[in-house]
Order: sequence, then C-alpha cells, then structure tokens
Amino acid sequence: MARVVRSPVRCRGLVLPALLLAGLVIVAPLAAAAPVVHSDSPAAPMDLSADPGVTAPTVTWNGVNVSSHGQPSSAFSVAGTHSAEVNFSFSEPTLGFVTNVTLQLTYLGLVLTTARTAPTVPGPDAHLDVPSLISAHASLNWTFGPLAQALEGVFQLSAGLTNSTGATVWSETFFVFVKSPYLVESASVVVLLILLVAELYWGVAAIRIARKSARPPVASWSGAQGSTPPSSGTPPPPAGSGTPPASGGGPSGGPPPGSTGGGGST
Amino acid sequence: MSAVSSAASSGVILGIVIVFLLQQFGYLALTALIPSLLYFIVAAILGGVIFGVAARAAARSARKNRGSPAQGPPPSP
Repeated sequence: MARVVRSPVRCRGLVLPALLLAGLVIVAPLAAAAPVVHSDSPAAPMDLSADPGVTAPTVTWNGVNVSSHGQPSSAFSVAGTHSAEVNFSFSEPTLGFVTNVTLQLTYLGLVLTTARTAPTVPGPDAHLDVPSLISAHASLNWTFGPLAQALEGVFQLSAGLTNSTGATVWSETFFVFVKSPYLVESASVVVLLILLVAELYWGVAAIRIARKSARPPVASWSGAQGSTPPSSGTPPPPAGSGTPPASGGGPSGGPPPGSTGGGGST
Repeated sequence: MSAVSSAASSGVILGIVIVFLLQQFGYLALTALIPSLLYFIVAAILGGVIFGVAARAAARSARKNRGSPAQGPPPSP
C-alpha cells in the first residue's frame, strides 16, 4: 500500500522557485531599461601638450589605478550612492583617434549601465597637425544612478576607449564591491538569509519525513497458519485481555510485527 | 512529491541562494553569463544531490533498522 507523504514542502517546492524566477524576471527588465548615464559634468579638455612618455592607457578610480583591482578579491569598496571620479590617460594616435571613453557595469552578461564621455578635443583632422604623440586625458564622473538602491555585491566595470566607428580600441576591466544603503543592504541580505534558513529547515524536514516514511514491514498473515488477518482499521486486541483470533495460529495469535513481510515503500 | 524529491528540491534552491549570498558578500562576481550560469547549475546540482542522497540514506537506514528483528516488539506471552 503506497503511503502518501504529507510533506510541508509540497506547495513550497513550487512557490519558492516561482519567487526566484519572478525576481529574475523583475531584475532583467530593470537592467534592460536602465538609462544610459551620461556624465553631467563636461569632459575635461584633453591635454594636447606633447608627452611621448605616456604610451599605455591608464585609468584611475578616485586617483587609484584600476589595474591592480582586476580580481573580485581586490575590488574597490564603494558606496552605491556616492560618485567616483574616473580619469583616463592615454596617448594618441597610437590607439587610433579616440572619440569616446566609456565605463560599463556588467552583471550576468548584461550591461546594466554605461557612462560615456565625448572628448572635447577636435577630431582627427586636428590630430593630423600634431607631429608626435600627445597625452590625452579625460575625466568621467561615475554614479550608479537609479541602480544604487538595488546593487549590492561585487560587480565588474569595464573601462574602454572607442574610436569614431564605435569600435573599442582598448579596454580594461576591474571590480567594485558596491555597498548599498543600510536598509537595502540589510533587507536583501536578510531576505537571502531567511530563504537560506527556510530551505535548510525544509530540507531537513524532508529528510526526517523520508526517514519516518520508511514504513515498518507489514506482517503477513498467511493462510497456512489458519488465521484471518485483522482489519486494517481496528488494532489487534491486547494479548491476554481479549479473545484470541479465530483458530489461533500461534501463542499470541500471529507472528510479531516486523518478523515477516515485505518492505514498505514511500 | 516524495520526501526525497522534496529534499532534493530544497537542496537545489539552497545552492542557488548560496551563490547569491556569496555574490552579496563579495566572494563571487557574477559578471559573464556563462560562468554565472555554471555557478548556479553546479551549486543547484550539488545541493540537490546532497540533500537527495541524505534523504534517501535516511530512509534506507530507517527502513533497515525497523526491519531488523532485534528492534521489533517482543512477542507477547
């Protein structure tokens, strides 16, 4: 006889994945609808003074070079509501003529937000008049924008230089550890921790149910013993207090439970 | 839904939640899609297998214990 396991996780097993899926569905359009953040502050004019020493582009985040923060373990710790000053330094025209500096926040393969600054220097025609390399600088005021209330954790930022065709001529990635405002941070962490504890509880409860649902073997009342099996709804009378079964297969009216019979199934 | 599959599903969700928590606490960066999906899938499979196997082992050990004559009720006189 198959016994139905009344599991507390029967409904929850569908509800929680649905909640997680709903959360992802909500977050994905948010990411897709994130407006492109343009820096309000005008880009710093590029320094056209000849500086042959600058060859490799460098990006600084609040004055700190980002090249040493290329791993999640060495991420910048920033507050989501604060802005950061990002400076680009590069030489032209070794990379082609850079027309834009961009900064992109990436999460789960989606570009959540992009900051872009168009240099105020003249176009390539003006560069043609410069015989040697020039040191170019651009400044960007980075803010997380409306995502500041939702971001928490480690995220990757990609700094890039693009030319007039929109192609990225150089890029560098680094990581920032964004800390949300206290209430949002605690709310998201608390929700996840509650989910963690709840899943642990339900998982352990399901294991206990599985252990309890391992039914004891059902005693078989064989016809060779000449006795009739009791009805399943009525317990057998206590030994010695009532009349034994009809024709008495054994001293106690039958084999002890658990001695014979098949195994239970869940 | 049997208890074993319930435990396995709890383990799956637990694995996914742990990945999100690791990202929240700064130990994991979910940047690219494919590596992030791999994190989620591996964590979900690990959680499901661990909890499912635990539930199955618990059920089996309990069945074995109850089936042994040593633990059965003593025969009445």
